[in-house]
Amino acid sequence: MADDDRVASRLLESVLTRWGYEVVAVGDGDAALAALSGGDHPPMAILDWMMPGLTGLEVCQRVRQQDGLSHLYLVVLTSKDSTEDLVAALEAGADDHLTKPFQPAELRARVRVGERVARLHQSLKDRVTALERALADVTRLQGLLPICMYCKKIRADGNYWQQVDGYIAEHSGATFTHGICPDCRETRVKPEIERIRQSHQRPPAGERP
Amino acid sequence: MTDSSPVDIAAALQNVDRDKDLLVELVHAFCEDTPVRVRALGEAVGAGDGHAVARQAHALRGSLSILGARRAAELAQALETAGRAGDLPQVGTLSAGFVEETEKVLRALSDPGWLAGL
Repeated sequence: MADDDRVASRLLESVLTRWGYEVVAVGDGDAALAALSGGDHPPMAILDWMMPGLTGLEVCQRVRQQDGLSHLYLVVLTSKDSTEDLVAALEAGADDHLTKPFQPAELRARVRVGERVARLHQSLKDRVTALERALADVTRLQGLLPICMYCKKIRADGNYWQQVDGYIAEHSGATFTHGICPDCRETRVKPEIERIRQSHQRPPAGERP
Repeated sequence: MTDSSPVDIAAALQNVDRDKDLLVELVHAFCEDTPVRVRALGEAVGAGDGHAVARQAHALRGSLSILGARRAAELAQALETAGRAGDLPQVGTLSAGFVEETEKVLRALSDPGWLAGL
């Protein structure tokens, strides 16, 4: 929240803290923009309209122009209450406005609206991130994979040849359970069983005629 | 609030979510900051700087309205409007009344008696 008046600023900070919000309080528009542009920026801002440096409306405009900040929920706090002022605030990029002196119950209700919107946005952002991650895994399996014509190993990163099941398990969410297909049962397993049986039936070397 | 009382303590208490300790804290901040702002306002009036008058009057209006000083807040608004319009004769007319009313507010809030109204 940004307000250059100590009384208004302390009042806002106090009630917001009591309602369970973590508050970053600054005293002018430039500091507000810096706080909102930082890495760990708050999802919502309450900005006084008239402040030293950038006004609350100018902060709104700058925020809306910055990549990655356009989703911030911005409330302009003002003692102006004409329709023209409200329109000017919304056109500058504010999501809401509140007239001073505000009633705490109204402030609380409006902040809750902002909180709902901010949570919804965060939830959508998390979902998109998860989808992008899943899509990246799929894409990794869609590329051109060099595979050995004989043993069917796949050439992985670093010129390392890897069994196909290991490779797919590493590059996707799949896990493998191993079994034997009917063809391999005929061509590999049965001959192997037959070979073992015959080796058991063969008489010991000393008993041969 | 009576007509003669410069501050409506009940309104002030409502504005601070009925937090008496917070109201006491805000009144202390107001009593510290306001004389400085009133002096700055007087300098702006003396310099004939309408925009500076508007800026100072606006800053004073916010805290006056939070603390239930309606009359002083109304005068601050009129002063802000006149200053922004560059109407210096009107600024001159309004500023004396505003300063007088604000001093009443400061006297009322500097007297520990206002706490009895909480």
